Amino acid sequence: MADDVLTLSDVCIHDAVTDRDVVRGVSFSLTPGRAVGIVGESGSGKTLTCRAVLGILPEHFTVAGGTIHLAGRDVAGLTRREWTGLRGATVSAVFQDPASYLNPSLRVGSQIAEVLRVKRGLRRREARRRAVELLATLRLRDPEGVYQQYPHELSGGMLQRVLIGTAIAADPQVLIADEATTALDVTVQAEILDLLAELRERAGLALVVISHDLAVVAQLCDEVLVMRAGEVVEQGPTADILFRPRHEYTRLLIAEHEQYGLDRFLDEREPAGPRAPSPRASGPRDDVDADHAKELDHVG
Amino acid sequence: MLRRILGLTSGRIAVGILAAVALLAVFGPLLAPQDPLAGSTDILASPSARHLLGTDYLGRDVLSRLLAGSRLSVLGAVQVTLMALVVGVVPGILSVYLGRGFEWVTLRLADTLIALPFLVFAVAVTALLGNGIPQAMFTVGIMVSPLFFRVSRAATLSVARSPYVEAAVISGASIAWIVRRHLWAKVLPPIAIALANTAGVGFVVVSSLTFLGIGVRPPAPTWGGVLASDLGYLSYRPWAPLAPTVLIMATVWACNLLADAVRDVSGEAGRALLHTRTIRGRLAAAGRDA
Amino acid sequence: MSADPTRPVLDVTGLDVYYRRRHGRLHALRAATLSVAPGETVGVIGETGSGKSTLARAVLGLVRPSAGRIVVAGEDVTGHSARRWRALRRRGVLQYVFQDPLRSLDPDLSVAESLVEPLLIAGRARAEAAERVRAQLARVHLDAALSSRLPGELSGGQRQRVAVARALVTDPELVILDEPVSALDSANRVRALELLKQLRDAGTALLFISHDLGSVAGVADRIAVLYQGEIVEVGPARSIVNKPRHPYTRLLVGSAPTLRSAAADRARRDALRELLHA
Repeated sequence: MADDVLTLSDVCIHDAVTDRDVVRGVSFSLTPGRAVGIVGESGSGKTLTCRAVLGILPEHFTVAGGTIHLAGRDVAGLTRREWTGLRGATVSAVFQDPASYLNPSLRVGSQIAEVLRVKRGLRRREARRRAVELLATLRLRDPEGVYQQYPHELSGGMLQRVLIGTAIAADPQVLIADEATTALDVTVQAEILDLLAELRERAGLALVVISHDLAVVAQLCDEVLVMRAGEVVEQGPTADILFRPRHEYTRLLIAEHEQYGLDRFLDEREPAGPRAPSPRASGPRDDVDADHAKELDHVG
Repeated sequence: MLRRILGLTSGRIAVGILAAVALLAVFGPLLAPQDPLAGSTDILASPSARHLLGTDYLGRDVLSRLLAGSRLSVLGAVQVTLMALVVGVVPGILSVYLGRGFEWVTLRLADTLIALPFLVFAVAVTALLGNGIPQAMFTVGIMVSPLFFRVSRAATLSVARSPYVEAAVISGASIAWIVRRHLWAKVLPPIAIALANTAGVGFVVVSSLTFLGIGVRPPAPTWGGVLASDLGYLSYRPWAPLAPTVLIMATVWACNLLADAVRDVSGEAGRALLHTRTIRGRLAAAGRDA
Repeated sequence: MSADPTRPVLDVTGLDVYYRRRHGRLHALRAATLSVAPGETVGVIGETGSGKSTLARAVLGLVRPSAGRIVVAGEDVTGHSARRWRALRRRGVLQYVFQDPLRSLDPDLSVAESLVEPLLIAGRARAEAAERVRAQLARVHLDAALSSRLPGELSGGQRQRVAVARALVTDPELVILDEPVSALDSANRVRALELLKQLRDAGTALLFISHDLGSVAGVADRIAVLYQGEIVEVGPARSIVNKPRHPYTRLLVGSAPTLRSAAADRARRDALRELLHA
């Protein structure tokens, strides 16, 4: 408990309009460098839970039971000013649609620098230097160039990196990724997930990963919570959830994935034999392949 | 479509009133109890057994003038709408399909018409084509056609780029097929609203042009003309403008009711295209200019 | 269908497509070469901007290629005029299923009216066409009672089956499907993929375009991988997944989230990314 950066115990969220508890009894804790995943379909309460942690529950939703501790502090009685101090510096978040979280008429770099100036009190020039460094650690090629660009000039994957940049600019201890890779292409999604894993290892960032896709969560997290209709139906170490699921809903999620995911083919993956040239492949790529054959062999 | 409109109460009322107006237009002049043009010494008389709605400043029977004028009034409104339909709606739909050249020319023409001052244009056309109801209505029709052009073009554009139209293209559908099968039902409701409003504007415009000496020549009666002359003698017969006003308002109201009914029975897609309020707003502005 | 069993239903050679952009032009498709044999199912895998939809639109005659040759059911369509395209389309040999079934069905037409449209365009008699529509509904496992419904009154899965049935009414030799399962939830996705397998087994050639290797791999005989407008690899579905050769294909396979935790693959993915950017 002492070095927990985030602890939820038995959190209930109440909706005043329908007079019902929409989230019931969510508990988990995070130490630096650990990752917890929350899986569930839309309406399962996973997003409300993360909004409660950020102190940005929509109107007429309230935390009606249980406690949330951020960096050892109970958030129940925080004033608006105290919340503002906590967000960004202690806990931060990225969401599904990065473009809507950036101002379209400002250069993306200056939006990261702004966070540094407000949260860290850096001078203009220093903030700029740090922002470029940050873009480089986010594995953006040509960080100086990206700094100068406007949101519409960047692809979805690059925007999400920039957004992660603004989220981690003030060195928070906890980063919440709410469906942060859902709208992205598979290879871009993997890039973002790899980046999050790297930040976790390198900076000791604690992650809360929220997704409808069990596989996304499984890639990144040590512990998984499976939520349905506001309730945690199963919770445990990732390997237990994947290989020894107890609840039927978890089994259903796994079965669906096995039915259309790539897993069913990868199981039959054979050891790489001699590569037969494919006659149908369009010509020009073949010599590229040959050039890279050596590197590819050790890569694959 | 008509059957579904008649299924609505508002639709039945609208069609009923419009049918009555149509009957008036056809038989009104025959029903007139007296000669609508014959003056008498009995001027500005109150209603009596002889003059059910009294007489005007030249001693003419107001009821006879209203009945006799219904044909011209309705004809004028119908002409304006038909003109707008032909000059506005047809090019509006075709501008999407007939290629860039046609599109460019029609768009510029529409812009030009919007920029023309109404009165100058009306006087110029009368000078060129002579004075008469068809000429006047032609002018008004041309002046409102840019609105129809834009309404129908916008509706067509949004439908023409939809995947279901592309699906029909991939099945080998011709433009005529697409317009008939997919486009017409979606484009009709916004056009119907604009048409209904224009018909209303038409009644008023017939009379406002009379003031300028364009269109209907003074002795010939119209609803708008009777209204205008009654307004001049308010102090003698304060209730007099009521009769022509009720006729005009009932007809315009029925047109609007019909347009609303068309909207209500039209499909999801058509309804989405409707911006009734904007169309009405622009027409009101056009009416004010007139 | 009296097609010659050896003649490909689709043969695309060296296809180049450019789009005009404000600054210069975009090379959307580069020398794409691909063929589909009768009854064969070919998957086309590509991510955003890979040119996969451009390929479909070029084959359908909706986009004009600047170079290359397209042969559909033995007919060279490369330089076809609008009139000749219309004549070809009316024969119904080539059909298309859109990504979004709701928007690809006219919201004001009933299921039956939408289904019968391609047949009426082709000039078939109404009675015969209605009979065929009934048969197609059964083929996609839709209750005949649904035929009087409007698209808005159907579930997402039902709509997609209507869209598939619509593509099948003319007994096409080739059906192009653009992301046919992406808009569906996972339960409906599994059912839709089952339906595609049945079509494949019934002998209709399919060109299955998708960004999702997992859903294509279970249905396709062969898979073509599109990357930045170029077909970088074509091969049997299993070998694309199990023995990908091109770095991009390797990255694609290695990036798909699977239930086996894949932290160890990170280094491999990084190496492949370096290779692709080199």
